[in-house]
Amino acid sequence: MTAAPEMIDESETLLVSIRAARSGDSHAFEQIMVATERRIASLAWHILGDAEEVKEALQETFLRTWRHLHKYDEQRDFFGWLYRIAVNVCRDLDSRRRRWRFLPIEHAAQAQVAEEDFVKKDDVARLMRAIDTLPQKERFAIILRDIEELPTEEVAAILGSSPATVRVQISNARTKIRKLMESGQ
Amino acid sequence: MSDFRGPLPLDDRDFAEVRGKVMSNIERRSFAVPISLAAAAAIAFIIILLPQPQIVIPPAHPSPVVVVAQAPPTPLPIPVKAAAHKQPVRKPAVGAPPSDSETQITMNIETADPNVRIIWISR
Repeated sequence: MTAAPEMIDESETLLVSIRAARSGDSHAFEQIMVATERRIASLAWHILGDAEEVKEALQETFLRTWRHLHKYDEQRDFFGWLYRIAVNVCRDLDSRRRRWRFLPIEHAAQAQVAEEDFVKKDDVARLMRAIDTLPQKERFAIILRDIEELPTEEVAAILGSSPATVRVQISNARTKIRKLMESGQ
Repeated sequence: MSDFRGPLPLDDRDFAEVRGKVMSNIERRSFAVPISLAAAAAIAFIIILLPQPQIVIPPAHPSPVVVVAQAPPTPLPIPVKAAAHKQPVRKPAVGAPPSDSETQITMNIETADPNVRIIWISR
């Protein structure tokens, strides 16, 4: 019974902080960070899977938010807008990390052995590996839809695609994950 | 599926650290912008105050009327005729009668009035 009024109260408090932060109140922006940081960190953790990168993503997300806060439309969901920034930041970090994965051959072989040992531990690790092997667009779509449990329309808005495209991406991702899980890789 | 990576590995200290970095970055920028604006304003002020070389503007005179003489139209080349022969001046022969130009004419005109008579003498 009290959940709904609390949510309204929370969103109103957030809106007040947003308006204050827009006019340059950094203390209000700190309150926005406190209110949103765990959700953003959770999203970044699901996408990136590395604690240090999550911290980096969190910091960059909030810096971008501060810079572009004047562009935020109050009619839209603030978390959706913030998620979009966070996804873009994670995309940048993820692209950078994947470039760094081209290690020298001897290091790559060692890394692969260590990774394989870890993957054999349990199904969760296999699922994680399966998701990590997906193309970036499918990976982001399935993380936002199935892990963050956002509606398809919102996922599409965050990723800048159409809902139909997101549905196809999610379907492809699920098929690939199922195959990987069944093959035991 | 939501726990496929396990629990979030960040604690309150990590979040506070991130917040601290963000805040210091924001405050650094918020200082940097007014400082750069103030510096730009100061530079502009100094430039305005610097003694500038006096530019003497001459008083406005009515612009002198410039009459542009139009060159006469170039005459079309006249077909060159054979140079006119200069007639040799004939000297009067000694003892010859005076020429017509030297002949004196006297006209005696009678009017209706018998007391008035016009005498016209030409040279």
